Amino acid sequence: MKPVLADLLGEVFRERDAWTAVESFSSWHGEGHAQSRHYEGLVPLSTPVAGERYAFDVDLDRCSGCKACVTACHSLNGLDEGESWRQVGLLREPGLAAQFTVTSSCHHCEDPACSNGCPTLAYEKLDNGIVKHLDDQCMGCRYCEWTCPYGAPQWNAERGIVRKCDLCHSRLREGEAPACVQACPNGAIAVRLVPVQGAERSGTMDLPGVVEPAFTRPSTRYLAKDPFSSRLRPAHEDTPEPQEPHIPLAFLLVATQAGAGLAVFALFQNRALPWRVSFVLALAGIGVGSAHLGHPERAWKAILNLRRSWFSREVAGFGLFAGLLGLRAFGGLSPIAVSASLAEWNGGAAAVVGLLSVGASAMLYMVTRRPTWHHPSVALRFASTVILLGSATGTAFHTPGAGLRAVVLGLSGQFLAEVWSVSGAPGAAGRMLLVHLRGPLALRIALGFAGMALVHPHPLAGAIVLFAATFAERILFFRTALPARMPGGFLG
Amino acid sequence: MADLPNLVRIFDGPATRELSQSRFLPGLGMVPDRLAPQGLLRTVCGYCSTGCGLLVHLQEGGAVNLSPDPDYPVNLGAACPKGWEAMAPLASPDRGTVPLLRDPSTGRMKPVSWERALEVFVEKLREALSRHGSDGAAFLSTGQIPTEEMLFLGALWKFGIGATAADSNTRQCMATAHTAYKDSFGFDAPPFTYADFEESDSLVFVGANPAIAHPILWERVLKNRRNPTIVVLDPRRTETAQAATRHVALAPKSDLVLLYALARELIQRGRVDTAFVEAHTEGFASFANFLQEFPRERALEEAGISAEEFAFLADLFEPGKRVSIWWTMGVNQSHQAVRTAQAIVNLCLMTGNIGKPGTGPNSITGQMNAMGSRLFSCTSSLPGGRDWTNASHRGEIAEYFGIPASGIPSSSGPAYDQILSKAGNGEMGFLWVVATNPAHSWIGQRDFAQAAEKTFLVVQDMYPDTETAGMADLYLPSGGWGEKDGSIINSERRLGRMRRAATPPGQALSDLDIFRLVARAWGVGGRIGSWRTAEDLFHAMRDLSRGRPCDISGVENLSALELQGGVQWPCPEGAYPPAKERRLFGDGRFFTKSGKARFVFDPPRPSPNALSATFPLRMLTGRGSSSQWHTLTRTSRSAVLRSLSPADPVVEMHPTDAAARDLVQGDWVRIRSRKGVARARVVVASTMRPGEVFVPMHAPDANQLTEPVFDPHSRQPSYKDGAVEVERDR
Repeated sequence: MKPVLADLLGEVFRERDAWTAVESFSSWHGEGHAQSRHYEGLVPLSTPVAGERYAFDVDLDRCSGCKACVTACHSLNGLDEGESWRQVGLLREPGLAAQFTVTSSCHHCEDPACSNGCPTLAYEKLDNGIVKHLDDQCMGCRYCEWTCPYGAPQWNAERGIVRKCDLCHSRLREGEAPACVQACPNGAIAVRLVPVQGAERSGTMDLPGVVEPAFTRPSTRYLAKDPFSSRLRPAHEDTPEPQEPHIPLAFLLVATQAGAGLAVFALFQNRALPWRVSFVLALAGIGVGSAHLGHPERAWKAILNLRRSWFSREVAGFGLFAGLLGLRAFGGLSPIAVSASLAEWNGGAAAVVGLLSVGASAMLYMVTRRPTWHHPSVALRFASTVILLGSATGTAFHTPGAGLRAVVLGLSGQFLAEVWSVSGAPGAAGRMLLVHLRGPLALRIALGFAGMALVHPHPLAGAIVLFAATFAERILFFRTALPARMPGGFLG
Repeated sequence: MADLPNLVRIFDGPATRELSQSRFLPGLGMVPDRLAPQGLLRTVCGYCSTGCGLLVHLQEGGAVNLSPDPDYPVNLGAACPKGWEAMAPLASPDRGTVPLLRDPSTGRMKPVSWERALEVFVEKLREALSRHGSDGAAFLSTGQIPTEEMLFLGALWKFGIGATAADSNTRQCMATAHTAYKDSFGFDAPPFTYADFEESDSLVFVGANPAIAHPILWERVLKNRRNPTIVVLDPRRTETAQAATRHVALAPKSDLVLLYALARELIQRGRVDTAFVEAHTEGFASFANFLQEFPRERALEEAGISAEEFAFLADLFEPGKRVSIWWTMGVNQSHQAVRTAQAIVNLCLMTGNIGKPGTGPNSITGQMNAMGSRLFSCTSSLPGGRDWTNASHRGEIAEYFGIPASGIPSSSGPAYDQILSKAGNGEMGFLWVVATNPAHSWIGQRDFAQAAEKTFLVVQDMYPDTETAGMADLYLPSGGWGEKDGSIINSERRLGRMRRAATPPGQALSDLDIFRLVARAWGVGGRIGSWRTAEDLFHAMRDLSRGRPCDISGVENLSALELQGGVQWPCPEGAYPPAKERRLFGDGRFFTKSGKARFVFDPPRPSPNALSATFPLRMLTGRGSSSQWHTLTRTSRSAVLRSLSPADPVVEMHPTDAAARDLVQGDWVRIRSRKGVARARVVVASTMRPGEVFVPMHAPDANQLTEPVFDPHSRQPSYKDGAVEVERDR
């Protein structure tokens, strides 16, 4: 029996391995683009002329929520594992059964916030309306994930860049439908040509829970037979999940704000040490902060969009700040004698640039539509931190003006800002803090009070503990920053 | 100088080109250059019974991508997320690549050679059969392999090895439809073609959620240009119910009473197609008499619906209107499933809604090849849909296989639940599970675990990490869909060709090759021992179908199937090439001896799973999303598919039930039943009726909660009838 079995085993594997894909190559062929007859009428017959734009139309009554569009985007665009530029969420009416599934990708806005905020100019608004992301220009700072109020840019960790929907512009150029349009079994997604004047198509993006269209003037139009009930809400709202902690950025913020604060207090005293500490803080902040970039070698491009991006302004500002601090801290060591008045001017300039840069930092967050951020609470939070950490470190150096009173003022400002920031999304952010982030919140409060108590007996220890308290506060700042987005599903 | 701006802003480069696209092949649109196809292979999908056509994009090294087949008559260029991602599970690093044998000393699985694996297989099987008799060993197979492999497995087991116990997991999904059709029509013959979705005036979906479970069939419904009335009978306001003209939220398991009351109402309204009933049916008079006990008020009370809703349903059957009634698991999985399906059949028969465009009592099948299993797997029927109890049928099969007729058992043997209880009682020594995952999917999971414990368990699967493979004593690595050749039969009786687009990894072999090896190792010769390729088996299917209602002898070979974009049975000799879409019974002739369809009915019975003060909530189970398939064995291997459904298990409940338990959206809860406990997160959904909860069947512990109750005629489990309580998980 046995040799016979061995023979068959050999035969089975020989047959298995003799198969090649080539023998199946001609199993099917068609003419032109055979799929095109299934999307007739869903794409324009011509390419846009001057004054015309491409735009998505979504018929919500035809969407059955099957999500084929998501997988087709992934497959037909050759995206990486798990990557898709389309998503399907849900609008639901609590207590009633009315629901809509909502498919969305990039809305190719007339005033794209992704592009406005991008520090490296890695976005291009094409004449045909498409907002194209320049993958080779992107340094991977992920700022567009915050500025886009619809969640269109997708972070690709392996490649260290963001990618997003380009409306399949190379398909449209050939008269072919985008992947999602081809894939929808029910013809719910179409691409239309619309005049530039009407490209924002105001009112048609007024979906419940979604940022008002006046902000970026999106071009997508959502159609439904019946008007939306005012009680419809996105399904994801009920279960807010903590966001990424962004540890390098939390450190960048705390260190640069401490550095700027200390620079101010250092003005009242003619000592090099506070300047040197301030310089080290600024440098460490910039260094650690740039560690979060997907492509640090392209970091120099961060100042390309000074005209529109607070990110570029922040980078340029802190760069100048560090330079001026270095000069003030170590200028005295140079063989060329630096006059006292020049040093004073230098220190003054450093402090002013530091404060302005902190202002740019605050603007960077405030211009996004994250509900816990676009609030003036960010300004209060950062200003309080400048006072708190400036005075805490200043106290350690016995700087005039620094001391417990300033520390208490700064810490109170921080606490007030935190409460104020939660009021931007009271239910969701509050629930996150009290349910998911109870531990870190308690730690942050305990560190704050401990640091304050230490300021008089042990100023240096107090400064360090308050630095740690603020670092914890800043991680909560990121973790509670619920995104502005299109409707998502249950539990995300 | 002109290049200077390009140094600062780079419009083109390696990352940009990574996504560039071109047209490569005639008929195919733009695809990524990175995945440039050199050829296209036409195949049918391996998930559900819709049976969509797919084009696999091939390079010399194998498959690189996939898109729906624009020419296939079923799906018309569309696919659901599972179809789009059909290749991903094949490339998973979790695939089994060598046979594994449990080492008794350590309890761990250890790689062994195929020789050793087959030696142990044969030794343990012989031992079981000699100790416990011919029903001392069983296979539990699947609706997920091609018909050719089903026929091989069944014939090998029953006519080659001489074992008598076997069942397939079609028992969990389609046994009811099979039994109902067979009783009513004389053969397991779904009468419809998918064009009927487009040609109905009224479509009634009973316990069916095609928008999620069969998205491409829902596409066909939306292609209906007759401005149809779409009605959904379902306790839940499902995605389909929301998109329908009308949703009637009836109480669970009240469908039988409601259907009987509707039949009575139609008689009273004079809506009976008397000419059709007299010429083509039998038993109507006693049916009409039986219906006396089902006045409208009884249905209103038991189903919890309004008189207006009832009248709306009765109004659908206007003369001249084409009514089709479609059902799936809401009907099939019940303690009175077969009679419920037959109540649907009865409604269509008495109103003449059969055999004409846009009509029919139509069962939408679950798994991609449940229909192949029903006709050729030698489990519930003899090949060709023949009857085990019929001596002349047994004679035909005996003659074909060249064995004595006495060698063919006169019954189908124990059903799934009976196999597991025999095994659990120690009356069986060997279980062979092929391409299915009952440790997850079987009702009352513990019964399977107990059977696995008491037997030598062989699991033949793509992955060694399924719940069932984890209990195995011997694991055999097999090729999956996409790695083998053959054919499947979809819901509308269409045989579609499945083609190989990749080679199984490592030492994994197609199920067909494994069956060849087992046959050889056992010493099976003759016809069965001579089978080598899928084509050989397809020829056997043709021969075995000749003269039967499912005659496919006109289809010369597998290529002939592919050429026509699939072929619906029957296609007897001389009928090839047939029309693209065909329905049955246009001539009013059924497959019974008399040629007439039968009215079959029985009084409704209450659910054996009574609610109680401890377990006050009715638990329904069902498909959770369009991106998940059954026990997630395959769909969990695709990152994109995983992202399309909640990562945590969920339980949906009505706001009043959530409020009564002080639960809010997303809370973790424990669901308790008389059988077990499962953890899940609450989804507060007003799509539920108060007092009912819904648990997607994909959760690994959903069947810790279900209680083994079966339809007496089909032995199909009643999965949608649990009694549970939900409480906060502290």
